[in-house]
Amino acid sequence: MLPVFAGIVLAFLIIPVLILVPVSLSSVGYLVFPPPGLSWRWFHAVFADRGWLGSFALSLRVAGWVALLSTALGTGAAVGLVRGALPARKTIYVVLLAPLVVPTIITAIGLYFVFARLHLVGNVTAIVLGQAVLNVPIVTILVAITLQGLDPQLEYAAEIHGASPLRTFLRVVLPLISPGVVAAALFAFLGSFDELLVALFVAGPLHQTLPMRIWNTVQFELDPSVATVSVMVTTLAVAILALGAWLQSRRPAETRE
Amino acid sequence: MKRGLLAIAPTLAFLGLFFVVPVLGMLQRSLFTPAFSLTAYRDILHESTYWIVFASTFRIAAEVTLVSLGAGYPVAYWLSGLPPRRAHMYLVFVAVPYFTSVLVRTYAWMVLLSNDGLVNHVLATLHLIVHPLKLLYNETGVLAGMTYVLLPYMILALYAVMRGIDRRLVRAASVFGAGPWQAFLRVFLPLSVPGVAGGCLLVFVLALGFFITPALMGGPHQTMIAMLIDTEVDQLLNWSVASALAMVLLAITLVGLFLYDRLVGLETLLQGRC
Amino acid sequence: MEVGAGEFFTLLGPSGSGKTTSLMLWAGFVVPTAGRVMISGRDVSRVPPHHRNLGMVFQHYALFPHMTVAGNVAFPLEMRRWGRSKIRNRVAELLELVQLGPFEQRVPRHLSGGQQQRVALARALAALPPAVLMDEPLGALDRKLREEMQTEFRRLHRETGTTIVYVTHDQGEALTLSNRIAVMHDGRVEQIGTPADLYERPATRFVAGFLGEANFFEGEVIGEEGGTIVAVTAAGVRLRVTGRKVHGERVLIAIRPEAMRISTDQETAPTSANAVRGTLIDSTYGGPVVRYRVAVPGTGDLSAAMPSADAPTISWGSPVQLWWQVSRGRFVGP
Repeated sequence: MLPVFAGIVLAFLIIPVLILVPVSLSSVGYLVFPPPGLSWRWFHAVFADRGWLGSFALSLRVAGWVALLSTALGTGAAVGLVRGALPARKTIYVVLLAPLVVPTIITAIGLYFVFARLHLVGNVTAIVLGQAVLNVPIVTILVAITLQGLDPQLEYAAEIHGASPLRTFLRVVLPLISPGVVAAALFAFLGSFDELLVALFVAGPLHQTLPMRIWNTVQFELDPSVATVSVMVTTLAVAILALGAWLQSRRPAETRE
Repeated sequence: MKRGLLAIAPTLAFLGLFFVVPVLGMLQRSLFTPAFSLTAYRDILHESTYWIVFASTFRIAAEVTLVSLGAGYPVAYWLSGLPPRRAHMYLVFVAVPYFTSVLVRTYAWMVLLSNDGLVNHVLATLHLIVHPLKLLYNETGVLAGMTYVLLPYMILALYAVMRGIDRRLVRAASVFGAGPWQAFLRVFLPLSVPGVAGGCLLVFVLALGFFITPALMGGPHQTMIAMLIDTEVDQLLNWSVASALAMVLLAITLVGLFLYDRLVGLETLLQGRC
Repeated sequence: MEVGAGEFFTLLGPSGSGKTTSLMLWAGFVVPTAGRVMISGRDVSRVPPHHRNLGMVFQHYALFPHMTVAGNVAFPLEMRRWGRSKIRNRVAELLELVQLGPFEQRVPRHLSGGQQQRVALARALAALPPAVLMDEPLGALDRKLREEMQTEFRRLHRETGTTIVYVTHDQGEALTLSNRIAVMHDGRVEQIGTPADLYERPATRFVAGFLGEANFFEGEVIGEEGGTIVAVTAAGVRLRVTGRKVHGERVLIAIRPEAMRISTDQETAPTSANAVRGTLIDSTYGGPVVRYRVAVPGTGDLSAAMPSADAPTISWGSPVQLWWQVSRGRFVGP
């Protein structure tokens, strides 16, 4: 009895997104389930639409930069937290994790006000900076977890035998935590790719990321092209997730005894 | 220690500049218009429009919390009784929605609940209805969509606490003559209360700040605070009121999360990501 | 503390005695709040570890898992920017030294504990450091392997002449390997000396009890007799000990079990000896020696150890006499 109920709920969590697949292949121009026929027309339409392609390209570009920036910042934060013996750790934790906790609408509007002052609204850099803020926490957490699995004696061994702290990091620590770092970068990429609110406020009239375009389209019409885009985005997300999970499972070779 | 500071300084500076400053900026905007005054806050507290929105927000958040609890408790109970490896496998099902876009998930529900969508189609095929039910742009739609997004949080919070409950206690109760229901009610349920409180707190607080789902799936009576803030900024250009609303929302969120940390601990949320 | 060039110097003590911390001070991972650290006459107290040109071997090897054996050993040389062919030659030389020549391309994961430790040693010696620090390097190995590695360490010390600073809590290991030992307790150095010094002339109660076993008598000096000091314990036992003490001073006297002789009450002890009477409560055959435990009223239990060939068979509970030559007793500090 209980497993059945649980099974239903778990299915409930997965099914809605799966529904979009047949809808995206619908042969008609309005949302109906089940679709009367299957056709690739919406995939063709989306690929032919310069608006969708442009948004896709922009989202990829932004996500790439966000991944780079958040990973660099998050890795530094993780190293400082785990190996740094810092004062006021609790406070630092709070600041680092706050973007995860504060309602995104607040962060987005706050950034809008600041960027408006700096005349950066409408600039792609603003989107990158804003979304990086949202993704630094998760990168920090993921890299910190990986780093904790690394034997600190390895760093002692490197240093006593002539490696400066920087070289120790580059030659010993980084190679050994790289699976975790790459996984974190992938999650940051995904986080940025799917992000709506910051982009909405900060991207200005000339730029539309993919989520922005979905948002704008959905407000006015529910035609299957959005379903198509959603399916593509979700497939991309699942692929990235799988890659990230696989990388995370390859823990550093030397764990503490 | 110097090295640690060096490693973390750029990140702290970045967050300071692009997170702390913006949020503090909003605080400033809510209090200085441009001279110091509490008019923004007074406006919020006095005008009925705002009160209605506050009421809707709390009402919807409460409804979502209850539904999530009802659906999530049995699932968490079942999962926590499984051997850890199998539980982790199923938890993947719970955690995966985390990472697909909220927008996509909301949209999927819009497709499901629309007049020509799956739900109406199934109900019509089963001859349970004649005319399609209006499931979208109303409270039902918002409830469905938000529960869908927040259910994983509830399950994870409950699971974290339930995992720590020793099942042998329940078995011991049955040895002493309690039937399965009694054993559950008198032993397990009371022990799971911190998880229930924590999960409800978490879902409630997160629901308060929702924007995308209620904006897409709700009608005029489902306007929530986040949507109101957006309107104030975008359309009404009432930046100080928007900031004040944001600060109120932030305050409630922080209090809620602080209580959650005390009850359950914020680390439990990380389990889903590992 | 001072360690001479080419010495095998051991820091010996129980956990928490401060020996690892001292090692860390020399390595540079801990900065002294008072005093200085000097290497080859240079004050390096503020010099970071990577500039001290030392080698170090850790209890759990700390080999870089993402590098081969050759890569690990070559690491210190790469850090000091040696030329490629020079590095290659040196690595080959070192692996020969530790008898791991054919393992050059292996990864640490595929080596046994003993082999890993030898790689770690080769790495420590690579850049010809003035000293190699070793932090309980044999702690993770089983007994037989430990003994083999001890022999290895002795051989390498002889062949390379490198100064070695060794940390261990195993007193047998310390006695076997070291030129000199510093015994540490609760963060302080109790005594420094050669193994023989420490064993035969312990300065404090702790050293006497930590290196081997000891019997202790607490007493007060009451006078002199024939060039020796006379002390009496609270239980009224009268002892003579060689040394210089002041009348009325409170003293602690230690005697090694192997210095004691045991006999049943009928025989009398030589006049040049101290003697106590008690009851035998246990005797154990230990191969080369037989160990006896004797309960002496007012003093506690004392241990005696006699070579098996000379050891008398005494039934438990019998009254016995323990005696020892005056010269074998020593005053020790508290």
